[in-house]
Amino acid sequence: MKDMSVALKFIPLDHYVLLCIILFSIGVLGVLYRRNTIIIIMCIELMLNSVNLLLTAFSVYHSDPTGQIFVFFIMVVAAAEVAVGLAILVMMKRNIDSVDINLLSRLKW
Amino acid sequence: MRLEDFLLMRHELLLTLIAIIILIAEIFTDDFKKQGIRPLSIILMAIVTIVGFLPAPTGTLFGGMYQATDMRLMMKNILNIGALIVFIQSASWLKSDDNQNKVSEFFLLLISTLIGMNFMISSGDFLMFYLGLELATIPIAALAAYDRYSNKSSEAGIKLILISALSSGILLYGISMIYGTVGSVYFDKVSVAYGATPLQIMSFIFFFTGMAFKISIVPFHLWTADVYEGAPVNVTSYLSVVSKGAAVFIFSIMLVTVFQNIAAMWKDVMWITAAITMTLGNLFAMRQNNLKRFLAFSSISQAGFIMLGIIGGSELGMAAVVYYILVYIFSNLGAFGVIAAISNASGGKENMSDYDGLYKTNPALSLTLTLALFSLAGIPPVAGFFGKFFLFTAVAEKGYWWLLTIAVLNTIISLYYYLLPVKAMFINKAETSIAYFKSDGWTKVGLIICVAGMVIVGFASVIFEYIRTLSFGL
Amino acid sequence: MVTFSNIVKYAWLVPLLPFAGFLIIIFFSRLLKGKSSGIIASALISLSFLISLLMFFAQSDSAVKSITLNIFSWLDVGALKIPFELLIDPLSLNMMLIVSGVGLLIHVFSIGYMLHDERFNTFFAYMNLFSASMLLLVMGANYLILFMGWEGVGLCSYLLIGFWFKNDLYNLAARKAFVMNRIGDLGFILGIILLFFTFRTLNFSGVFAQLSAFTPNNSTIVIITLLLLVGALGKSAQIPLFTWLPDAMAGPTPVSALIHAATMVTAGIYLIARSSLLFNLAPFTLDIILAIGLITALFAATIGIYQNDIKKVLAYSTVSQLGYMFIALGLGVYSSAIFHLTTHAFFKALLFLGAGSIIHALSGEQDIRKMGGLKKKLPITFLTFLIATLAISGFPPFSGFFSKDEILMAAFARNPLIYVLGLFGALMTCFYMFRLLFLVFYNQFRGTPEQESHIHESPALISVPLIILAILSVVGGFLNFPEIFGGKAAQANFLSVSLTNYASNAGHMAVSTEWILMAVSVLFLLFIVAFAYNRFIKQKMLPAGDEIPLAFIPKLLSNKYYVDELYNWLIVMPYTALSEKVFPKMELNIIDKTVNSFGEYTMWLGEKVRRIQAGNISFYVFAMVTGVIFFIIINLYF
Repeated sequence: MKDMSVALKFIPLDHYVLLCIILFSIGVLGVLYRRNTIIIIMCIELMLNSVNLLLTAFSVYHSDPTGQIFVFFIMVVAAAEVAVGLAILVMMKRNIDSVDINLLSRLKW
Repeated sequence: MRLEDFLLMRHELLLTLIAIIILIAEIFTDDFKKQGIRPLSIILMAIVTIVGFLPAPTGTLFGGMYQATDMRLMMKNILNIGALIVFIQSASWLKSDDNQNKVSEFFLLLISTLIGMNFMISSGDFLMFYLGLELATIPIAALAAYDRYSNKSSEAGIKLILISALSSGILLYGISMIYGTVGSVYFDKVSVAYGATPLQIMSFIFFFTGMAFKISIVPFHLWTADVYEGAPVNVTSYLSVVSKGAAVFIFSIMLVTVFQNIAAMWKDVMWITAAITMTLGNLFAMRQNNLKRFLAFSSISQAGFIMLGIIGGSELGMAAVVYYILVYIFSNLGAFGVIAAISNASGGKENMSDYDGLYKTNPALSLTLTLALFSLAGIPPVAGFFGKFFLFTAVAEKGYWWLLTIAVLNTIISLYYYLLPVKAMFINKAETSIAYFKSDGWTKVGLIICVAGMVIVGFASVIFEYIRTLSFGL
Repeated sequence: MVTFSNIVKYAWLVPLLPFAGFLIIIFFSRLLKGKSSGIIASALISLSFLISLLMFFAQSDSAVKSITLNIFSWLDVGALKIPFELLIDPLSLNMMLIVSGVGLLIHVFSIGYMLHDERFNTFFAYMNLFSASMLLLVMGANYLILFMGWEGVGLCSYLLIGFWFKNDLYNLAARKAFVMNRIGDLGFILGIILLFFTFRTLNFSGVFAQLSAFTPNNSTIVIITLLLLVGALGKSAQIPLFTWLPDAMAGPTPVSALIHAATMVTAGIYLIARSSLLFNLAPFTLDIILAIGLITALFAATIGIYQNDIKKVLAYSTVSQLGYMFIALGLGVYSSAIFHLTTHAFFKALLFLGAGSIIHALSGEQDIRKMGGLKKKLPITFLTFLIATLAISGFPPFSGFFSKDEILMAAFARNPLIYVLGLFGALMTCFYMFRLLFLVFYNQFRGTPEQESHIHESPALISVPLIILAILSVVGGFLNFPEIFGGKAAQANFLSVSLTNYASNAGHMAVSTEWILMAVSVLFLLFIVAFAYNRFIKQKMLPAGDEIPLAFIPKLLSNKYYVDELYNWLIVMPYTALSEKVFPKMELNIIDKTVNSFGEYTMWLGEKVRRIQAGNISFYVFAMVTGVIFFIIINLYF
């Protein structure tokens, strides 16, 4: 295990940070540009995963387990979030027969 | 960990207990007896609220992850009061045919969010904070979509869950950066090591965004009006008062403790957002006709006012924030309670024009609504005036004269639209105004609590003095 | 034994009783039939009056003249200590007696006047709420309680002006009054805030005790007084915030009598008189008050000459008389201002109630061109109206003579020019009042025969208050019978505990000068009456009908100098244009275009004006992301 973390540190931390920024941005852009609600939820998951990766990387570099524990909680919570999100999505599909968020315009100014 | 230590967590434990009781009751009652769950939940909640006020020890648990101080206990009690009023107000709505078979779900979801909020307020590190925040948010999305067959309700639910998931993603990103730069998620360690490096500033902004979404600060407020309109009235009132109050509480705690090193910076950010939030909230509220949307926008502008106290940052400012939330709970729930009662009795009439001449037919309800709107607007005899007054004093004390000027101007603008419904009720004439109806006991009790709260909290200076004596951890 | 300190313990009942009346009437509105709500309201007001009277008599025997009664600790926040305290001193007693006394008479009058109104109960509830707020206003021991009452009367005024809400014009009038008052209130609020930051207290006594540290015309004091003045201008309908008062005549006539003549509009005078020590330190502000008062007095009087609506004439006359009170304040003779306020409360309430009685008799007619010859048909109304006219015109020995004379004397001592202008205003007052009297009561009836057949003297409930007020209008002047006639200036001495005059100008004049001035003014008044008599009774001249074009000056005057139009053009129209044109444009051009450039987020929703697809989550996300980027940029690079 010790070797593993040493091995991981061969890659500079900057690389992890940059990768995470890229992943996070892809996620945000996906939320911005996609119309299909399921894909939007997937993009949010992508954002969360980039956070997870970042936390793990920091955790390794700080030699502190908190970050990794945090990641497990984020995964669980994300699962719960998606569960509720998908349940509401099913409801929406039943009501308006579509998962296109652009059709959600009944509530406006 | 000793057994007595559990006493520190009694708010959360009691709430969990009543959640379990309701769950068991739901399982073991027959379908036609389900209505009994309503009084059961309300009584249990009332007991929890009262027990919350009993004196209790303070301290920390789980190595500092959980903190119980007098101030945090006070905040939890305030939230309990708000939740109790929402429980009482929803009793008559839950009796309707559509909702009969999902009574316990409503209470269970509300209680779980309340547990989340309590944990969030007591959090001593970012992990506990995050878990509390999510527990307080996710069930609300389910509640917003409570009317299963209503398009509006499902739209509100999906909007809330998507935006909240996004904002919690952004928030987490900020937390991960904080962790990366500081090496710890504990508040006390972060507060010492936090500096103003670019990464830390970015991390703060991300964190701020996540909270701003909860408090609905411009430009993170756009979901508010839609969700408020789409969700059932009682859920909206809960969302606008208790949920927002909890977020404000923890946010103010964190700003003055965790982020104290960069106070100059976050004060600038807050300055701008507070001014914009007040102004935009007012501008939009002015043009609304649906009363729920109207209150949604007004609550955005109220959020801007609340931020004044945080910007003041002094002990007075923080006490003013807590006090204002207390006042706001009574006033806003009073307003929502009347709207809900009328909406239920008249088959969904929520537009301002429907209220024309209401005073003639339902004087008691219109007087209550008037009092609540006066309190929200901050007209002197009612509690809202004192709340605003303390907030203004807090910023004035620190010499934010421009902000104070903007706030005072906004108060005056807000008077205009708060008086519109009053005008509709008292002065406009109507061909067919909403007919006289008798509210049921629960509604009456709920509204009486609100009215009493608005009057007593304003006049009993003891309450504010008590809040002031509580140390805020400054 | 009823001693002052004992009876003062019950002072809190004075505002509370009418407030209880308000609650009772509102909550048991369904149970109260017939006159019962009016009787409850009047009974509670009369109790307040009785307590005030007891306090007054107890006080005159007592050595202690002013007592602060602590009800409870209201706000207690570190440096900020604002107890809920009532101050019972000569000034507040004087005002309490006016408010509850005149208020009682008007309540009784209203029982008769409003009897057939369908919202009789609501009317009395509002009236009681008004009385409670006004009493609180004059009894508060600090600026915040005063402000509370101030807002309360403003609200009631709004509700009562728009009482007959079925008429849209009346609603507009109510709104106008509200907005104008809000402008004044803004000044008042800022003044209170500044007061607090200067003195760290809002108690009258606390503020005044610290004044010795300031030199005259200290800039902070001047700013505070100017801000308070803005508040007073709004409430007391002075230039430039006066236009709401004439419009406020839309309310029922008793409302005009109570709120817009006798009590609420004097709140501004009260505020300044109460702060006399503060204003004494700001001679600059006093000069401004003097100028505003003088201009208003003349300005409103000229407009009054050309009005044809009986209530409008009285309204402009009120504005003009309030101007006189402001002149007195500006000269620093606060006691004269309060004296004129007192006598004015009597005769102006009487005039309004008399007008109400006439309007009642003529089933709602308010145009004086359609009246005439009512002298025989309404003998009591005529007699009381005549007394009030003599009083307001300033004929000795009626009350108005003494109070106005005091002000004019003080003006002469300051500068004869002010005296001349003031006298000129008084003569105009005399002219338009006699014009009104002659046109309404003399010659032939000019209305329809149908109206004529209905004319009847009003019932006792209406005429008894008239008679009492008439007696008060006659003897009111003896309250402060001047020394020159061998009197003791009783009221001025009584008030001296609360008020400190800036300069006792009046005393320094030679007695002979005073006699000459009085004689001159009386002579002029007689001349004016003769002129009016000749014009309106001998020659039977009538104001022209609306359809006949007027010459320039009469046209200017009958249109109130086009002030309303000016305000409309200067403020209301640009503002409406802004909200109608600019806001949608901003919405369409800026927000919409931004959104449109992200093409797929927006959809055109038919032909509706609001085309933003604002229900769109993508836009919400976009806003959030933009917000984040914006904050990062400003924090990293600025």
